[in-house]
Amino acid sequence: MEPGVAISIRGLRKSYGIVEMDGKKKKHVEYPIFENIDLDVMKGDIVAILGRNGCGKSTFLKMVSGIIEPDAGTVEVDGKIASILELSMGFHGDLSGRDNIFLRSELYGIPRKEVERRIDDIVAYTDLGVYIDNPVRTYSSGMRSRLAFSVMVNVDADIYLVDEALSTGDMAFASKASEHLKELVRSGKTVLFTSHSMGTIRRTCSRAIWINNHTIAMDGPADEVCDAYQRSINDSVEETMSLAEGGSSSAQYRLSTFYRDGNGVEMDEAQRRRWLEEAAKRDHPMAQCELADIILAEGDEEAAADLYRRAADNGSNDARRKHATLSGEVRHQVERIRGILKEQTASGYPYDYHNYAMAVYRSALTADDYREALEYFQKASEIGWLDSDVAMADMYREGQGVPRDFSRYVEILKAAAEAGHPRAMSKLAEFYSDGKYVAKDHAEAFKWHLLSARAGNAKSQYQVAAMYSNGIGVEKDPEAAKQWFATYSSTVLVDSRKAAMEVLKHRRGDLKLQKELLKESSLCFTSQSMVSLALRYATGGKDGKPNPHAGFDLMSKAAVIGGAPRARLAEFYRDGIGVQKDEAKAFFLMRNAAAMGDASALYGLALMYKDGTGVESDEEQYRRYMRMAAERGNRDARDTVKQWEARKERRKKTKETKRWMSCGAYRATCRWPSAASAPSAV
Amino acid sequence: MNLISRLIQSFKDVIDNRVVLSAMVRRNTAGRYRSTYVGFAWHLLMPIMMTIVLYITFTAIRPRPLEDFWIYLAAGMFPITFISSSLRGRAVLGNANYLTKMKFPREIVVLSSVITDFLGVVFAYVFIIMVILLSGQYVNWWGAAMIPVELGLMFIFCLGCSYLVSTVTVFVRDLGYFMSVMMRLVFWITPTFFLVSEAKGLLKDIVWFNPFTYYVETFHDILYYGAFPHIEYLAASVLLAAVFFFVGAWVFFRYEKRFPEVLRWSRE
Repeated sequence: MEPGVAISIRGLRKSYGIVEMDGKKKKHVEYPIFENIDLDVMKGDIVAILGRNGCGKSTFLKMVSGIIEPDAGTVEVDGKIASILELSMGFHGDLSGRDNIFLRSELYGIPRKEVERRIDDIVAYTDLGVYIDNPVRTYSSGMRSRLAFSVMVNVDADIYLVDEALSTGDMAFASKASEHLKELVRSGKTVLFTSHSMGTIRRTCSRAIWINNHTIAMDGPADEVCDAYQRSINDSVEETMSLAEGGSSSAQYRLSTFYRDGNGVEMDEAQRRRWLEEAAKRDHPMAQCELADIILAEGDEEAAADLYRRAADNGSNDARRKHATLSGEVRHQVERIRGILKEQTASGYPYDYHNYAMAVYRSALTADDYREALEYFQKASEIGWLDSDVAMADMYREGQGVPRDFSRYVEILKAAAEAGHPRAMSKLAEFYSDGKYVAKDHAEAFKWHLLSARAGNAKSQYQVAAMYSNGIGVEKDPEAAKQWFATYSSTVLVDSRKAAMEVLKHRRGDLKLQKELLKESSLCFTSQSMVSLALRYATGGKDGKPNPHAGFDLMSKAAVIGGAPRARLAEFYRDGIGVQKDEAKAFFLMRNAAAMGDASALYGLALMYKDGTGVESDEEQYRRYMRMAAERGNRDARDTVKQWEARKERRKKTKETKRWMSCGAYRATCRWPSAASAPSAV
Repeated sequence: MNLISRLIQSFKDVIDNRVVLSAMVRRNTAGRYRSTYVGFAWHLLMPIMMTIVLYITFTAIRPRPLEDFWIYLAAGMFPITFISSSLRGRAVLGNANYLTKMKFPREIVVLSSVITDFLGVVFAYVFIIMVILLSGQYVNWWGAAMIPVELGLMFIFCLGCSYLVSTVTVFVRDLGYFMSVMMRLVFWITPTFFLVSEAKGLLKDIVWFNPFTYYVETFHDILYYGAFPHIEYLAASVLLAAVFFFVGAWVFFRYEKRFPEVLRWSRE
């Protein structure tokens, strides 16, 4: 056995004889409990064992304690074991609590003299008061477990095994007990316990082992194992069904979603409705909301509004909005806005799709609305509009207009994050570090936190610093940690710094001071400051020599943040400022920036299509993007589009003129001062 | 050889866990007569009362009266009580609670229950000898010196029986009920209230096949007849103790590992 290992199990196999009914005859058969279990538990670990009833948790502890011997394999234990196995605890019912303390302690091998010395402490620890001198037969199970626990922790063992004992004591004792276990662990002891309380496991343990199907199904940090275990219970149809029958509203709602999505059962509207109604009766907000959706689709607005209100009272945001919309007489406004925005989608521009989809999404009442929103988000996303991707991802998460699909949610979010969407990056980072929606992965979490931190997200900056200083997901690096902590605390001041810069600018303050502030601000990864500083480096600004390389470096750092800096970086590549000219890369970056809705990028992209920079020149795309850029407020693009309009007018006018000339109206037109308005006046 | 090394190992284990052993013995004594007024004295009182009852009964029905019949009865009653309690085979089953929950050498449960019963016999004999001395009976001191030796042999014999019966009872529960009937038979076919010479018919044929007869007769020799016991009785005692001990221990150590599993089935 390696040093530092308290319990070492290799190739453990065990089967029990159990009774099986063969018709009316009892038959003894060998039933496997464990097959091939390998496990190492380190000294100073507190490990929980969880699993369904009858999966062998107690047997496992008994095998560790050596009471039951394995059929094959080895169980090696380094140190003395103290344990509470099973709830009856092995007390002698006729003896008093005090005598049982003596008996149990002696059974652990503590000499009677020693027990006599400690008895007062142990009795005080049990906190059983006058009951201590009464027969254990008269004790409740909670009192018994107190007694057993008190004896156990007073044995100087190295390894403690606790089977379900923490769950029967009252709250005060349970927390005292779990604190005591933690204390033991801190002093280098090892604790193994079984429990069905996920809360206790999460609070108390560093590690958890999930036993399922005769073997270790999962072994890892307690939080992750608990999550996986709970998920497996929630996803199990039989389990949910029995819980639902037993009247658990959350199980009833879950069951209704199984019937809705055909998840493990045949799709069945009637069953779905039945369970939704059951759950709604028990005030489950999501069920009430979903049921109201169905009722609304059937046309009974009043009943739906009523249900929405009840759901809203129970805390559903969705229902709150729907209730307000239904009863607030604003539906004509909603209809109008939707109408206007829908008309605009004829342009085929992504942001028009996005705006319409957003409007529908925000005012959605029925599943059809959600589907409509999703459709338009999808359209926008196909043309490359990242905000739509993120919105679409949220719909997958919430199961709006589409079956709930977390893996799709994460997939879309990941794609958006990889394309550089800052909100997607920070969300993804959080998921990886919390193990939400995805398996916990510290390395991935660090990667995304770092990107997000570089995009100026203060929370991620703190996370990165913490990860550097604790060596989670990355090599320990106190220097880097220090730097990121500094960045974080500086980022907190970004708004104030910006205010200071504004003031300096307007009151014609010290130029040098302004530049210093700008530099500080750029260290916090705020995109605006980085871009303007980079441009200053590139052009030399009002003072000093240009330094294109520094400019390029800073800009490429800024480019993770979003559209505008990426468009600028594309320009650096296009014009070869501080870097080898690379038109293909420039085009790629520009298109990506345009996908984030940056007007200058749209303009830049239009120009690239016109000049054939990094892409084949394409008149149609050029005009399309130019118009988009103009609409999004790019001044140059607006001028260009204006020129186009003017040219078109002129051309039209020329045509008209020719017509008029031919019909003898030329003289009359010449007299009007404004040539443009002339023809319509005629 | 395997058995010998296992026994040596077992001996060491028990020495290491002597605290556990003494705790179990204390639990047996304290636990059994819990909430009674007389307490452990019942251990002594019960055979004495039995002796009195039998004395009254058999004095009346015996064809010819026996001189100092009460000594004869008392000398045989205690060994027979001891032997029959070791044959009850409750040692393992009765301690299922501990065996399935704690790790300690499993032989301790058998050892402790035999020791508990043994203590009763020892007290009883101390008591009887005092009574005999007080009543002015003749005592052969050479014979009296053999009492501890014979008690030791009987202890080993009973330990063997207990190993054997308690192990088998775990797997075949029926044996427990069978043994309670057997214990009654043992009482009737062992010379406690009759003289061996009085045995007639079938009893006469089987009385010497009954292993308990040798132990009881040894004590009769010493206490009732006031003589040095017959050498052949002593030799038989040694032989029987050895045979039963080795057979019992072999069976016990062969199957003890499976106790915690099998005891899951039902526990009392």
